[in-house]
Amino acid sequence: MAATERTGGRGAHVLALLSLAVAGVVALTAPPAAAENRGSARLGVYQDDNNTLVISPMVAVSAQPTEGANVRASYLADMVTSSSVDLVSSATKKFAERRDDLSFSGGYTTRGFTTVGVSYDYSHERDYASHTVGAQLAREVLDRTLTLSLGWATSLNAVGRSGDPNFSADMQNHSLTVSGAQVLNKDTVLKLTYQGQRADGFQASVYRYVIVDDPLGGRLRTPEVVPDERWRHATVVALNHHLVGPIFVQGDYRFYRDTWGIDGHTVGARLAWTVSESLHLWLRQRLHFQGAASFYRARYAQPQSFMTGDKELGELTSSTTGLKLDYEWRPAAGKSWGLNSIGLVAKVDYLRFTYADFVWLDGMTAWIGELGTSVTF
Amino acid sequence: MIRRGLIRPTARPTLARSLAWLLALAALSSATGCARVKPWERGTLAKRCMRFDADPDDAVLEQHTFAYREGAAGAYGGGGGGCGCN
Repeated sequence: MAATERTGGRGAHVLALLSLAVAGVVALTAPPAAAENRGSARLGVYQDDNNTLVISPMVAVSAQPTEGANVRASYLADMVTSSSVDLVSSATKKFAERRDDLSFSGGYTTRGFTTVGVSYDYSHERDYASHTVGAQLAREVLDRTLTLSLGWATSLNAVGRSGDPNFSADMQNHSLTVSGAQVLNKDTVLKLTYQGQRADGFQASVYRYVIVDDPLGGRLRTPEVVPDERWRHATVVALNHHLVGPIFVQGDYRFYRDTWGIDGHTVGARLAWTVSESLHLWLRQRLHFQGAASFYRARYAQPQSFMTGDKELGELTSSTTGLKLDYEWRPAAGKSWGLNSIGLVAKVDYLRFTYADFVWLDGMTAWIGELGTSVTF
Repeated sequence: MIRRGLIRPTARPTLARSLAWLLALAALSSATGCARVKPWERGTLAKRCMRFDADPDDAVLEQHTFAYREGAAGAYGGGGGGCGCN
């Protein structure tokens, strides 16, 4: 049975309808007032030297139908063509596929500075389908200098295997996010976030194989097997600071740990330069290090309960260096033609991945380019 | 069903530690006079470069990129859809 035909079953549809209904009620019952609506489009292109190309167009619209209320809808596609060594190692020479993702969200902020929101996301590809519903609650306290947020999301996923209509597996993912953003002084904001996730169900790749030494000589290829349960924990400390004049700095550190034995450390830094009221320039550097899952091996001497050769679950480091330009044009009063602003954004990132213990690859270089535009009216 | 064979039992201690750190840091930042910034002193804080969600469209694309290529990624917030990595 195709993944799309059995994604999450009736429960997922009930959750989706409930989420959309709440978003609609929230938006329509708030008192009317002047509002700003926004439309945007993005095109992202990812290309690496491991023969993978991903083109990701995205469109989004958001509106404030009444005072304090907002609704948003977006569509994102991933068009992937790849013949990477991972695929060659799993005896598939090349593939091309598309993922479609639809998101809806709605929120309402009271005059008491409390915000409630709901969201729904549907993602579909040939062999994978997913429904996600979420809810968020935020409140500004201490004279609006501290914002506390609580978020929850559940996704129901259906896993299929291309060319095998008899294969069917499910996976559920639940997440809880707690955060606090504190104004430290008139130039500095600190944000702390914790997120816990629990995934339960089929989490292996149906196309990935591991290498096991054959006691009779040579190698055997066998499908990877990973635990059905995975708890993930991430804690992020982020700081935004106005340095001097038009210069702002942003820094963050993220610690990650999961029950598969992976520890991760991510450090990010951004320098923002307000060239003019309309033009912003961003420079960024991101460094990521992670250890390997406890059952990861480049190759296995003998079969184990859990086995994976997925390079993303092995020890790796990654470095991202990027530049982004952001331009916003606001027409003069009386000449706006109903427009509040027109925005343009261009971004380029250079990524370098290094794998400590992966059979097929020592490292990989990638480029990401992004172009976007937005209109508010 | 195969479960938990080689998994280290780290879930509960990590959750408790992370929440404790979060509460401690929130309490510390609240206790350092942070609330003294008056509304008329918040012009800089309202600027786009000071916002944590300055570009939500970009955040969606970026988190998807790293969730696919780093096993320790994810858990940034929200549920997300299928990762396109099957």
